[in-house]
Amino acid sequence: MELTAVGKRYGRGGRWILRDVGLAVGPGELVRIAGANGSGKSTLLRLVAGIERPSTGRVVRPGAAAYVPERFPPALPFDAASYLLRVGRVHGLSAEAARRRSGEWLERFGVADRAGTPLSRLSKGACQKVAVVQALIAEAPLLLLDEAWTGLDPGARAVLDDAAAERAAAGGTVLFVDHDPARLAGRTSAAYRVGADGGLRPEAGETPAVDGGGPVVEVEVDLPDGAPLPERLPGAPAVAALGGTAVRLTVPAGHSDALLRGLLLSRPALRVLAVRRREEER
Amino acid sequence: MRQVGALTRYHLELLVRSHAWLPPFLTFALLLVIGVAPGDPLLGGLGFGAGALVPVSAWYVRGALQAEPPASRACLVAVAGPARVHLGALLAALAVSGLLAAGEVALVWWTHGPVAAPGAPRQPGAGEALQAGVLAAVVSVLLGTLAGVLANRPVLVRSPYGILAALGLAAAVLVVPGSPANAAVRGLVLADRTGEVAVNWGELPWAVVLLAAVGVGAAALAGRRPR
Repeated sequence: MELTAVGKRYGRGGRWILRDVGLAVGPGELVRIAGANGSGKSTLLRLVAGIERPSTGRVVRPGAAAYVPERFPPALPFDAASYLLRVGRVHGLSAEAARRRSGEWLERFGVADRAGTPLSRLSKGACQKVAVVQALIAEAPLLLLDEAWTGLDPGARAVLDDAAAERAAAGGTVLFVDHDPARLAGRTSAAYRVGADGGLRPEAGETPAVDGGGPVVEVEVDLPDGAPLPERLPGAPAVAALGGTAVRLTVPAGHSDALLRGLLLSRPALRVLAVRRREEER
Repeated sequence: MRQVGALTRYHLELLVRSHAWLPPFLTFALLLVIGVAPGDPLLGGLGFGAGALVPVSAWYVRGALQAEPPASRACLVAVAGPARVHLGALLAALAVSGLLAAGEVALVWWTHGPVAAPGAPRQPGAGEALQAGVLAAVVSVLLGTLAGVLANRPVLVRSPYGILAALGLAAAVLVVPGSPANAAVRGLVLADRTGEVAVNWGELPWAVVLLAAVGVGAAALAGRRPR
């Protein structure tokens, strides 16, 4: 995903909300966009999603984007399950896959029992969960979360935190905006701030999760018969050989769930010997 | 193409669930009740029905485009791009109007009396008249949809004038010489009086090309002019 010299203003002579923005985000990155209210964070996300066109410059996307808007309309005359099925079909999923994935995600967010309820009769929080699930079922190469946490209960916020980190760990590009500065702290790979002049600058004081600070998780696995490690493991772990056929993989804690899942599902099967959480003292 | 199909299904379901299909349908039913009585001549009834389909088809375009709140549209646009989302809505409106056209022809056929008006010099075959009626209904739906495309976003962004523009365009499509809808409906009314049915299939591809060009143009514009 790449923005080159992107500017945005509404109407001729309008104020430049974004000016000369350059941003390149690769697969596997989880990027935070910060900024004051009305500074153009949401506009930036909408430009990346292709919902709005830049007034100047160019936006290049890796493929389809999944987008969660700030406010999702309960005026939509669907029930949750049929809405998710229809959107899943637009994402190119088969009807069966769309039903299965939306079932799984609704379950994870704890609203599986309300799948048949019209959106207009769901609580604001449950409706927002449907908006989030709508984007997650796609497993799109680009996930854009515009204050998607607003209106969710603490449990659901944690689920969405994990979902965003997992998406990045699985090779997706994730951009998010949230008013909570601690959102996904230690799990982001970069952060930027939209300034009052419409420019985008790297956020000062943000430590990238991979090589600076933050808890890491070590996973020791045994590779039977010296088989090679699966390629492209989530979280891009650092690999160190131990004795015999065992190796130690080190990833930021945010990627550990996805890494373990990747390891457990890999073929030929390998054996996980130990999982340890360690405060990084580098 | 499959994505446009999925978007059409989405908008169809939206149109049906939001009850946006109902007002145009009731209006059309009312128009038919007023304009076509049981026992009326077949050709006259088909002509009236086809003419009434033009503004109703334009209305369905408006309904399909307005049934979607901006936020959920944004989600779809992120996935599929603005042009495909717009095309999906237009095709959904076209499908509903097409269904209505089929209903109209069937209803007029069911209730008709003589084929042409009783004073006509000759009575043509009912099959011929039916062909002309189906053609006129299809052409009217296509041209009415075209009027709807032109009278709504992204072509006409100032929505207070949308209804007025749609009515004006629908009337224009019916009366301007050279318009396929004008030719088809006028042919039916004339045939009702004279008994000479002329089925001019040439109007159909012309109407399809017109609507396709305008529809694709509007879809392309949807990307450049998001509200």
